[in-house]
Order: sequence, then C-alpha cells, then structure tokens
Amino acid sequence: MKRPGRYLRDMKNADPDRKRLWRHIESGILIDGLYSEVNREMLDRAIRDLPEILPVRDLWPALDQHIHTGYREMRNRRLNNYIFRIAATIVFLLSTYLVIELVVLSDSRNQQNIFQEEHVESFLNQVCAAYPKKCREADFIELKSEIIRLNNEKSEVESSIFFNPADASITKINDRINSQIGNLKSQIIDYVE
Amino acid sequence: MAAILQLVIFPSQALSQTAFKEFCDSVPLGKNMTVTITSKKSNLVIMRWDKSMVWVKVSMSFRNADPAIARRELGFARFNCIRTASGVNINNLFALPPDEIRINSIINIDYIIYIPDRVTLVVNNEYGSCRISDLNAFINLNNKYGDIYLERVRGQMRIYATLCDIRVNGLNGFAEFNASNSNFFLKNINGNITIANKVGTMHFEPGPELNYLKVTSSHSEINLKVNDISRFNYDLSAKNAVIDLGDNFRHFPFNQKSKERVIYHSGDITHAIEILTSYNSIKLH
Repeated sequence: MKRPGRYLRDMKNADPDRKRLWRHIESGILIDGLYSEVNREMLDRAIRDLPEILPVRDLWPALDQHIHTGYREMRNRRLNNYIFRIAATIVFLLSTYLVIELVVLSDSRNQQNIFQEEHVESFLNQVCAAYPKKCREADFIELKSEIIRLNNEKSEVESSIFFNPADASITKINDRINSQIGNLKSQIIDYVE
Repeated sequence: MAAILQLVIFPSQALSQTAFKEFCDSVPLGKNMTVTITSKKSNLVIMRWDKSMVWVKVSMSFRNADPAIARRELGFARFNCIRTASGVNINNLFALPPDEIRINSIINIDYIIYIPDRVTLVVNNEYGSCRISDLNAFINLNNKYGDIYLERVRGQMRIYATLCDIRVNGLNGFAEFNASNSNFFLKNINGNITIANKVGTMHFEPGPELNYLKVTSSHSEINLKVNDISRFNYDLSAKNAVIDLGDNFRHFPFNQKSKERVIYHSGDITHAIEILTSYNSIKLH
C-alpha cells in the first residue's frame, strides 16, 4: 500500500493542468494525513456563491399547466366512466326485468287466466254438448269424476289459511293442480274424439 | 350489486321483514315406540341416529313487508313436543283468532328431527315436504301438497300422497304407495313395492334386489327402466293406451307397440313386474 506522502508527491509531479488543479484543491483542503474528506464547508460556500441567473426562456409554467390540465381531464373522464357504468347496469337490470315481466310472467298469468276462465264445469258441459253419447260411457264418467275431484282440490288450496300468491310453495301446488287438470282435459278430448 | 339486483328483480322480497322463532327439544325413546309428527306448512327432515332418543329442532319464520304483521302472525304458530305412553307426539298448528281467515305472511317452517332405528314413525304433513334418510323403521307417511324424498330407507312403509312429487333413491323392504295426482321418480327400489296412483308421471328403476313391483294407475304415463330384464315376469296392461317396448325387449314375442296386454315369463316365478294403466302409455327401456 502506498504511503500518503508518496502518493501526494506523485500527484504533484503529474502534467501541468493536473498540477494547477491540485494546487487549487490543496488550497482549500484540510489535510488530516489521509486525504479522506473534502471540506464540506468550502463546497457549501461555493454553492452559495453561485450567481442567480434566470433562464432566458422558462418552459416550466407551460409544462406545469399542461400536466395539471391533463390530470384533471383524466380524473373527470374516470368519474364519468364510473357513473356511466352504474347507469348502464341499472338500465340493463331494468330492461331484463321488463323482458321477464313481459315475456315470462305475463305468459304464465295468461295461462293462469286461461285456466281460470275455462272452468272445469263449463269445459265438461261443452264436451258433453258436443259428444252426448260418449258422456254416458263409464270411462268418461271416471275421467269426469277425476277432473272434478282435482278441481275440488284446487278450491281447497285456494281457500286454505296459507293461500298466498306470493308464496312460491303455494304457487307450486297450484301450478301442479293446473297442469294435472290440463292433462286430464287433453285426455278427455282424446277419449271423446 | 347483489342488493341492487335483488331490489330490482324481487322488490317485495328485498323489502320484506322476517319474524323468527326456534324451538329445540329431545325426548328419550325406546325400541318399537312411536314418533307421531303432525305438521302443517312445514318442511320435515328426518334422519337416523344411534341414540335412544328423539331430537327435534323447529325454525319458524314469517316474512312480510310489514314487520308488525309478521310478528303478530308468528304468534299464531304453535309447536308442541309431548311425551306419551307409546312414544312422542310432535306437532305444529296455527291458532288464528276468529276474525282472521288467512295468514298474509310467507311462512317457512323447517323441522330437523333425529330418531333411532326400529321405531314406528307416523307423519301427517300438509303443504310441505318430507325428507327421510338412512332410516330403518316402520314408516307411515301421509303427505298432502308437498314433496316426499326417501333416501336409503329400509323397513316397512305405507305412504299416502296427494299432489306430491315422490323421489326415492335407495329403498329396501315392503313399501306400499297410495297416491293421487302425484309424480313418481323411484330409483334403486328393492323388495316388494306396490304403487297406486291416478294422474301423474311415473319413472321406475328397479334395484338388484327387487322382488315384486306392482303399479296401478288410471291416467299416468309410466316409464320403467330395467337393467336385468330377464330376471322378471312381466304383466303389462294398458287399457286405452300404448305399451311401448324399448330395444332391450326386442326378443319379446310381441310387436313393439299397440299391445293392450303383454304377459311374458322370463325369470323366476318370485320376481314379477305388474303394470296396469287405463288411459296413458307404458314405456319400457
């Protein structure tokens, strides 16, 4: 390892530019024997002594304005997107509900109306008026008693204390009775024709 | 988002309030004793356990847009669990004041009952479903306007059903079904089974230990899926309808369709399938 004294001597004997630079540094450096630390005070003073010169053309205010305007626009756009997304979801849900209401529920209501309108007794009267001979046959009487019994079941459900059109389990029972009455009606028609 | 969805699609449900009460009780029970359940508007779940006692939990909830009505109507619902000389009586009922003719809330009553094997179970249930699983007992079930589910049950059964969907998966023993206007979906049925029904759809899949199946129906469409067809003797009769034999039955000495009655002996005399219907078809697969 080089000794510090020798290292200094080597540096002093270098080219003239280097010598000049070294002299300048040497005048301001505190030598503690190891050349380990630059005098900070000197550097601070040099920085403080720097002259204050304003740029000929300052671009910063324009840049600053541009950056801030873009950010503001971006933020507005994001907020608008969010509002539009919520609005679109609500519109979608409403339209889905309307479609379900119009297509499915109205159909089932219509179906129920058909069942309600076409009472079993009037149906049987119509069939018997059209096919009086078949009406007297034992098989027809069996079918007739079955459909009347089902109709009575329907009346029993509708008059029970639990009957509530909003209750899914009651609706299910009603639907089942209606579908079976429908089955029997078609069987009666098949039988008489 | 889910709340908005519910509010949009089911506004009444989202806005309604629920009044709720719950009971829990247990009663010691010996072998061959009777558990009698009389319930209305209830969904019963009955399961087997190894303890010599009955354990019952009943949850009653009434839902209405007006919470005061829900609470008031919940007060009409009563529950009893009484120990008797022969066993236990469990029942729920609705005690309406004279001026009330109907309950306006949507009622939901759920029973969970654990009972031991080898007892007599008597269930009378209306407007609700009944599910019995893993039980070996003498079951006497009368269900009206609800569904019946039997899973892995054994013993002797007598089941009366009105306007029910009856679903069975795993049954072994002597079973007698007397149904009207019910749909049957019976799978893996073994032992001796007798079924009577009026209007409905009926599907049967015999298990490996089926000895005897007799189905009588006036207006049901009957579907039978037999895996080991040569094991049985068949007596199929459709008075005013069609017997449709699937491809598995092509070796039968009959035409495939439009037979009023098919009698065919192919198996042991003790194994028989008898189906009788008047106004609807029989289909064998």
